[in-house]
Amino acid sequence: MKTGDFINALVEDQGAKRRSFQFEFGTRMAAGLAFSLIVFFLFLGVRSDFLDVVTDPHVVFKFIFAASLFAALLPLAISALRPETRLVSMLRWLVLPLVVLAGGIAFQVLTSPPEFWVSGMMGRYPAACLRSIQALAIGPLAVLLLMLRNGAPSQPVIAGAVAGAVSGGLAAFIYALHCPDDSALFVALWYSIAIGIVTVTGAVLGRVWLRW
Amino acid sequence: MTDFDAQTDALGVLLQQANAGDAAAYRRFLERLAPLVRSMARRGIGRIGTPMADLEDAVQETLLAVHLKRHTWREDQPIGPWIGAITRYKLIDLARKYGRRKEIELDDNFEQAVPEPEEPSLPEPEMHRLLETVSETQRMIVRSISIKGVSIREVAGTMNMTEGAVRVALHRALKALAVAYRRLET
Repeated sequence: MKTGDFINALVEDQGAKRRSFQFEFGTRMAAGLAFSLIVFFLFLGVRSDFLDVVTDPHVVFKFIFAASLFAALLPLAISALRPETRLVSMLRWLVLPLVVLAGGIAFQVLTSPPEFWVSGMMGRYPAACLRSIQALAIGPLAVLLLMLRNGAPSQPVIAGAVAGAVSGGLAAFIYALHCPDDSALFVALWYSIAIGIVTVTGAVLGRVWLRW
Repeated sequence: MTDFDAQTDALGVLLQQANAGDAAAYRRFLERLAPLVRSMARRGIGRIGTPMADLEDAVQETLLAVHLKRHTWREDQPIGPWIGAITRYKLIDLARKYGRRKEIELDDNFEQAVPEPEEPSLPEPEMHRLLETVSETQRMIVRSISIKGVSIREVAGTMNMTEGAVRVALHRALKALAVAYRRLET
């Protein structure tokens, strides 16, 4: 088939209207978040002493860390929709959550005696932390991957990984409402592993699913 | 303003008009785009070092990708880098078919693109082989519209289908062709 002829088919297909990206993203992301919240309230729930500990810097740190990861990478996930985006050069935004994390670790180490470091880091419920963050990330990850699939990410693996990290950050934020382990060292180890697993999952899915 | 800027600005204006529903503008957009993509693809394939016989395939696949992903161009952004990125992505796909997975340095813009017309003597691009992978109805629709140049309405009349059904079948066929090309091993 000649290219000139092929263009005829493309022109005839031009009528198909598409809804705006913003609209789709907003409603889908709300659906993904709703899914996570349902899972959260069905299986986990807010910790019973939440109101007593909400001003404790250790607890606040968990939210700040998760939010900083989410906020730093969400714009990358959205930019990845467009093919001309060079994601690699934008990864410098990762500095933000890493600085927050380093600050949290420093605070923990400076304010607690060394004999509590390891026990704090291992916490009481590391397995539940891993499971819960992964489960809470499923909804947002599905939404972000769907959105990216509809877009044109020119680096599908990195785009998938970014979607995973963003979802992991959001999931960690929700899990922090429940999480009874308050040492920043626990967050540094187990939250990071959980978010890392979601990130790798996103990368693997991106490799097979985000090509176009 | 350089030639390059003028070319891309003109393309941007045409695609904006097309997005607003102007089919004639969309045709002009694609007809102007094809010779530029051909020039970029020729340089790209030269750099990858794979057979130049794939040139017209690369052009058609790039046009198809531009078509299916045209909603990802933001009208407030320059169109050159957007088209360059899509062409580059499709050339990397092509390189992958030959087992060359290395990141290839390719230009992302038109700066050296001199419009290059289609050579009528080249062998048939893969597209007709790819068409074998879609359903018979879809194949007939794509063939009538492209090669015979008939409209959706006329196809609907001769095939005893509604216009809406033809429209949907055409769109599905184009999406299926893009998937089939990705899976195609040389």
